[in-house]
This record gives sequence, C-alpha cells and structure tokens, in this order.
Amino acid sequence: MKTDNLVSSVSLTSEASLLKIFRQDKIWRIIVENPWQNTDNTRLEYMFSENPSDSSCIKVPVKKIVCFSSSHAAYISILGEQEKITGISGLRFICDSTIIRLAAIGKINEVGYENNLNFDFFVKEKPDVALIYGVGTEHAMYISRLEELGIKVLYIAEYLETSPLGRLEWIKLFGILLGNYDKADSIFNSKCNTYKSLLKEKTSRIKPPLVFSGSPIGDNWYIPGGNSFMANIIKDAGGNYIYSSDSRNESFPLSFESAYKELISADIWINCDLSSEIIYSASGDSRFKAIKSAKNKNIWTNAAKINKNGGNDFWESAVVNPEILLKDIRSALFPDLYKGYDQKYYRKL
Amino acid sequence: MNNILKISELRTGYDNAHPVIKSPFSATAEPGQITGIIGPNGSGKTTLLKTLCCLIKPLSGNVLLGNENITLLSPLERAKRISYIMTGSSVIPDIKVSEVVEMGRFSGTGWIRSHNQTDKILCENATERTGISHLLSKRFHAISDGEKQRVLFAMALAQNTQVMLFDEPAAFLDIPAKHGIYKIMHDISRTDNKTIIFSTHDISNAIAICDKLWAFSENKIESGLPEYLGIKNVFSMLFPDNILLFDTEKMDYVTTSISNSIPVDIKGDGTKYKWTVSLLKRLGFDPGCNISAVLSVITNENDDKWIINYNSNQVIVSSLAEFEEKMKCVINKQPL
Amino acid sequence: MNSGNYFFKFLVLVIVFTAFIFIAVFFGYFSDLFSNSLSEWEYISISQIRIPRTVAAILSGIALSVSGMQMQSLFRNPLAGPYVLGISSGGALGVSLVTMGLSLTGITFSGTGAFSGVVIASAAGCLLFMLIIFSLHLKIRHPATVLVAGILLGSAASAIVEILQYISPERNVKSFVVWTMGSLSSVDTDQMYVFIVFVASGIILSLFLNNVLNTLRSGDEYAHVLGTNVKLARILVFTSTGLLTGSVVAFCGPIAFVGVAVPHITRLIIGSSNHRVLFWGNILCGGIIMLLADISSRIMFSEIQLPVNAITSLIGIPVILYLVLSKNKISFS
Repeated sequence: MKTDNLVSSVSLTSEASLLKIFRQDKIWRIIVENPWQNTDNTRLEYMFSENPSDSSCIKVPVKKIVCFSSSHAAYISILGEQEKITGISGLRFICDSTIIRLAAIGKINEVGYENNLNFDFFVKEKPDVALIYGVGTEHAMYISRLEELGIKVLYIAEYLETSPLGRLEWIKLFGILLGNYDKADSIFNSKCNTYKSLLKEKTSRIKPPLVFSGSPIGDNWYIPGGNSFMANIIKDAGGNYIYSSDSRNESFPLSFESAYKELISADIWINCDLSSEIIYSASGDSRFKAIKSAKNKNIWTNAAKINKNGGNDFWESAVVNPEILLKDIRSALFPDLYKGYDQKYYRKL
Repeated sequence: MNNILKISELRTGYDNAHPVIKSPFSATAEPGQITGIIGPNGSGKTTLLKTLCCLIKPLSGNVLLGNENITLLSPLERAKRISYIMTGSSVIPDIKVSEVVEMGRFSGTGWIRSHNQTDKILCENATERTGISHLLSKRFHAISDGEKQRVLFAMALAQNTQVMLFDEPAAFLDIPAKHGIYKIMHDISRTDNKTIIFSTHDISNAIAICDKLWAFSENKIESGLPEYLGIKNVFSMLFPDNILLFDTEKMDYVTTSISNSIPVDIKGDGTKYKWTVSLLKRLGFDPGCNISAVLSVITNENDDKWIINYNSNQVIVSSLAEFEEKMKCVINKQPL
Repeated sequence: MNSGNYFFKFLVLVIVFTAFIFIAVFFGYFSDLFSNSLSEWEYISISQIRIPRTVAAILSGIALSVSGMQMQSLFRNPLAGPYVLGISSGGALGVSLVTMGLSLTGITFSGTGAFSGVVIASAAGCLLFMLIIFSLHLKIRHPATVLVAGILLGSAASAIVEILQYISPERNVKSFVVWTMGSLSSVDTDQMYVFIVFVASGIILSLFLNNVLNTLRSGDEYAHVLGTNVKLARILVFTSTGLLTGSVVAFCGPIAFVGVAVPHITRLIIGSSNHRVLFWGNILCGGIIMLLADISSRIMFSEIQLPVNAITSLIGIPVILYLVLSKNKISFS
C-alpha cells in the first residue's frame, strides 16, 4: 500500500508501541510490529474494510472469531460482543460469565492447543478470523495449516507491550474488527484518563516499598525484567521494583540463590504464582519463613479471581482494566491509601 | 556323633508328573566315605545331588543327616552341614580368587557379621589344601579350568561342612588336573572325615577311588561296593543298546568288536608287544586268535624287529611305521 | 590382605568428600569465612538454601549409588540401575497427575512444608509401582521377568504422561517437564529432615544385605547352597531400593545416570567386589559425584542454575560408554 494515499499518516494509537492504525475512508490499515520475540524488524500489515476490494482485505465487522488467548476474549467481552466468538483455545479457563454461558449452550467451542488443534472445527465453522499470538519462532506449524485451510490469521501482540496503557490500546483493533471503533476508542480514553489521574495521586510522601515479583520453576526463578509490563506498572503504582535497573522487557531466569538474596529484603512479594505453590508451597516452605515479606504476611498472588477450572482472570480481563490493576497493586503496596478497597486481581496469601 | 547321611525311599524330580528318580531310592553315606554316582546322562545324577542340598524338594521320601531332616532346615543351617559345587564355572563372576573362596564362609558369618579370625583361618586352610595360594590375587576367569575347579573346591572346603557334594568335578579337566582333584577329594575324606559324594562319567577312576558307587540306570539305582557291582555285571547293563561292553582288564568300557576283523596270531611280551596289539586292534585286526594259518606276527622286546608271516611269505620290518604300512597292505589284500 | 590399600583409598575419598561439602556450602564466601565476618545474608543463604541443597545432594548421591549397586548385583546386569523396578516411572506418573491431570479437573493441590503435593504424589506413585513389581515377583520367581515387568510398567506410565502433556496447558506441562529435570533446590529444611529419615532407613537396611549380595553374585543356586534364603533376600533388597530410590524421586525428581555409573566408578577405584567394602565406597563416591554435580550446576553460569540431570548425564554417560567399550572392566560374567 502506498503511504501517500493515506489520509491520516499519523497512527491513531498513542500508547501502544507495537500497533499502528491508519484510516483512509472506509479502509483501515493496521501494522503490527515484532509480534513475536527475538525479532526487531518484522512488520505485519492487515487491512480491514466494510467492502473489501480484494481478498487480502478482511471484511469487517467479522461475525465469527476464534481466540487463541484469554486476553483476546477479554477485549471482545468488554466491547460486549461475546456472541461473535465461535471458538477459544483454553475455553475452560475463561472467567467471563457471558462466555461461560454461551459455552454451556454450545455456542462457543474449545479448539484445542497449538499442537493439538481441532482442525475439523475450523473447516466446519469457517471463522472469519483467527486471533493468534507468536512465541519465539516465526511461523508455527499450526498457523500454516490454518492458512492452508483459508482461515485469515491475525497476530495480536498485546502481551509484548510493556506499557499498561499500551496493552489497553489494542482494544481499538478489536473495535475495528467488531465494527465499533468509536466504542473502543471511548473506553480507551476513559480508562486512560482514570489511569493518568491515579498516577497523579501523590504517593511520594510515603517511602516506596521494595517490591519483588516472580516465582520459581524448578531451580530457577523467572523475574520480570526492568522494562517489562509488570515492572512498569509497579513503578506506576509507586513501588520500588528491585530489578528496575535491569533493561530487559521480558522475564529472565535467575538462580534460586540470587533471587532469594533479593527476595529476603523485599517489603512485599507480589505475583507469587499459585501453580508454583504446588512445588514450593510458599506459605509452607520453611525457607520462606525467614523472609521479610513472609513475616509481614505480605505475599500476594495474582490469582484472586479464578474460575472453577483454575483459570485466572488476571490473564484475561486485567489487560483491559489497567486502572484496576494499578489500584490493586498500589493498595497492596500502600495498604492505608485506599481504605475499604477490595482488590480484584490480587489476594494476600 | 551321628553324622550319617541317610536317604529313605526318595523319589524326586522337577514336577510330580515327571519324576526323574521314579523308584524309591534308599542309601546311606558315612563320614570318611567317598561315594560316586555314575550312569548315563539324564538318569538323574544331578537331580539327586540337587535334592541332597535342597535345590529341589523331594517328591516323596526324605533325607536325614544325623537324624535331622534337611528339608526342614533353614538355608543357613543347611549350608553349615552340606556344600555343593556344580558343573562348570561360568556362573562365578570374574572376581578375585580370594573373594571366591571367601564366599564359602557365608554360612559362618551369616547376614550381618564380617569375617573374623576363624573365618580367615578356614579360608587359609582351604587355600593351602587345594594348592591355590599363588592364585589368590588373580581374577577367577583368568586362570585355567583345572585351577578354577580347585578354587571352587577351596570355596566348598572353606564352608566347612560335613557333607560335600560335587557334580562332575573332573569334567573338562586335563589328566593331571583331574588326578589332582581326585587326590584332594581323597585327602579330604580321609583326613577330615568328611562325607564326599560326587557324580562322574569317568568310570574307571570312580572304581579306583570310591568306597561306594550309586549306579543309575534307566529304571533303578544300584548301590554298593564298586567290586560288588562289577561282579553283578551292573556296569555292562548301565548303558543300553549293547554298544559298550565293560572290559575287566581295562576296568573301562570298550566298544564291541567290529565285525569282519581279521584274525592274527601275535606272539611276544613286554610293552612293545602290548602296544603292537593295540595298533593291530585299531587297524581292525583281532589279535585274540591263538592260531592263524594265514597271518602271524612275532615281536621281541629286545630288538627293533617285527616278523610278519602272511600267506607263507615272511617279511621283517624294523620300524613301527613300516609295520603299520605292511598291515594295511594285508587289509587291502595286497602283497606285502 | 590389602587392607592397607583400602585404608588409603578410603582416606582419600573421605578427604575429597569433605572438601566438596565445604565448597558446596561456602562457595563464594571463603574470604568472609576465613576473616570470620560472614554477613547476615551469607548466613541466611548458607542455612536456608545451601545446607538443604547440599544435604539433598549427599542424600541422593548415597541413595542412588547404593541402590544402583544392589540392582546391578541382584540382576547381575552392569547396566541395571535404581530405576529398573519402574520406580521413577511411578513417581513421574504421580507427579504428572498432580501437575497436569488435576489442572484438567480444576483442583489445585498444594500441601505445606515437608509434605508438599508433588512429594506426596511422587512417593505414592513410586510406592504403587513398587508394590506391583513386588507382587509380580512373588508369583514369578525369575528375576528377568521382574525387569521386563519394570520396563512394561514404565512404558505404560510414559504413555499416560504423554497423553496428559498433550492435552494440558503449557504452564502445567512446563511444571512437569521441569520436575523431570531433577532439582536439588526443592528441598526445604523441613523436607530435609524427612528425607534424611527415609534415606537413613534404607541405608541401615542395606547394611544387612551386603553379605547376601556377595553370595548372589554367583546366581540363585549358589546363593542358596551357600546359605542364603534367596526369596527373603530379594524382598529385602527390593524394599531397601524402594526406600532409597523412592525418596530421591519424591524429593528431587528422577536424577539420571548416577545410580548406574557410580557403582562402576566405585568398583574401579576400590578394586574389590566385596559388597561390604563397596557399600561404603558407593556412599562416598555417590556423595562426591552429586556434590560435584551440584557445584557445577551453580558455578557454570553465575546467574542461572543448570538442571541437575544435565550435569549428571554429562558425567555419567562417558563412564557408561567407557564401560561398554572396555569389556574387561566389567566383572560380571
């Protein structure tokens, strides 16, 4: 597509760094950058239109969507268009009540996981678009299969955004898909404002608590990098993230001893993963009895809201509720700040 | 001390439907005695030995050692009284010879104890008696078959039991080794007053050293002094089919004479005469004839000559090789 | 005989063992240790992290080596190891059911302290498989049959585990896969005491089995005529192996190759086939090898710990290859 034909050569996105939206009359042009890890020069272009002139342009609004991540479902849920979902990977972990209801009556189906996809479903249902996410490698085999079957595949890279508002802004893409860009835009603006005004609230009077985030898998801990989503939201919440001097924007492994060294002096430990409780049982593991955050009973898991199958809403709706997430974390860091506030995503262990 | 091994009405085998020893067998073996078990393969020699150390349970009858029923003893108690060495040595791992001998002391130490002074002395004695002191640090499978057998003897000796059972202890051994083994057995029984029971295919040596024989034939087992069994002609009836005859001169089996052997009248004496007779037999002649008009041979102990008279021709040869050549001519009906 | 020789060899082993313990516990803190100024962090690190790790390394080294020795002698097979009875497959099945299977039904299972979910699941799985093998053995006396049964059980367990891996979400699969890599860090101070009790029981039982193992070297028949109650001996050896191996799998996951390689290393160093001597040799060598693996996994990259199984494989595979290629080193017929 030639750039000089575009009416708006300025992207309609302001916070999201991996997503650019351009509009020319009835045609939307989306650019998704670096939608998988280990790359820094990949650009994917998608075009949407109500009257597409060729097959490379996707007709919107779409009527049947398949989501490969629970976060995708959350964007759709907040726009109220759950009925357009026809399949989800990992359906039983979804927390949204409308989706659960639709699933129970058979309107939304489980499509399986990447090495175990129910391709028959795709052939029978012919969804208009499949929303996927890339991990590490360029083109997983199942993606090629889907394309062979004629399914249009769309990379959603929201989880690679390091800014909470950036992640939220992807809602605009969903707005385009569902034919309601304006609604998406207004939700974004309103939440953005709430978030920004929360930021302005002074917390600097109080000494920022030292925050540790991460959980062990085997011998190593996986810690969010200094430039990652979690690090940024901790900073926004007014906390002093232990690894803020690190420059990585994703999680990195750290040996038990090195992680423990920092964990000991942390005032608060968040994102203690419930599934790691299976292995380490943080509340019961005797090595954790000595650490400050355990003594102060200040260990938090992000699995406050889980459905009956163990699905954690943190991985679903938190992406569209950054202001709630911010308030959750801030109230955990500064318990006296928001009296009577009940955290939605975080729970003390 | 009543240490007599008493077998009563014993029937045994691997299962009831196919007993190996079918008709009830009774016998005794006394301290200081060597008993030999002889008979064809499959007749039950190994089965009997295994029953005597309870590797196989008797189907009926019992075995008493000094009034104790051996099947009622625990393995440990039994191992203090009875030892058993099997044929061959391939199951023994390739460990040091000293460690093989030491294994024999398990019945003394039991599960828990390590070797004490008594155990060490018994092992040393066993090593000396069997003459393997120079082999102690070698690996078991690096020594000769004869040496291996002596090591196993040492192990059984170290076990220090009243009854010692051996399954074909001299099999696969060369002649000096074989006689070494027999000598050790003889020593052990006489000096230590032990009860030795062993099976063998070597009938002539069995007759020479055993105080008693148990002869296994297909249907029954005869027991008694070797000479008694000889007089009863048991040996000849041991192997059916009449291919073998027991020769009381040689005290061993010989194949029955080949028919069509050519009679020859041979005269002489001394070792030269005896070896010439052996050669003639092997070539197919029958030297038992006293008068043969056709063929006669005269040898003399003192000279190097053989005189052959064949069909009224006389030939004198001066070496055994020539003699053999001439006799082959006779067989081929050629002139000398 | 060569008792002077043994003394010297054991002395060296004990010295090396002690040295490795010292390094494992105090690595990186030597300067502070000698100037008697350990910081508070160093003290915590040593007591909370390093000592449980070191103890776990020593216990698993001892347990796997001794049970490996027992299995190699009992089955007269130089490639046998502690897992031939299917114990690690049982543990894996139990753990996979908890980390993956339960997630499919929505139950999360934790447990606290010494009795965390994974430890219990693994121990239960090991116990179940051990009992199956035991009862099979009581019916069928031939040892080769037990080996085959162990293999079959292991395959059946693997099949179930594979199915679970296929249908479970990534996070749980990763949890399980990481468990299979073995970990000395998952033992905390409470678990450490339970671990010590189990391994100690197994070792004490093993002390009484060395003499019968000596007789079993020559097969069941000779063992019997030398005085061993073979059936009882087998049951006790299986029990001892079960205790030792099962506890390692429960607390540390299935650590590979140590049980097969160390008994051979011990035999090469000590030079005897007498189990009374090999027993202590295996305890020392097993401890040394696992401490070496522990230290290596931590010092190679300062920030990340390598999984234990990777290191034990790197050590164990060359040893086994060497054995297979130089047949005269194997002392089994």
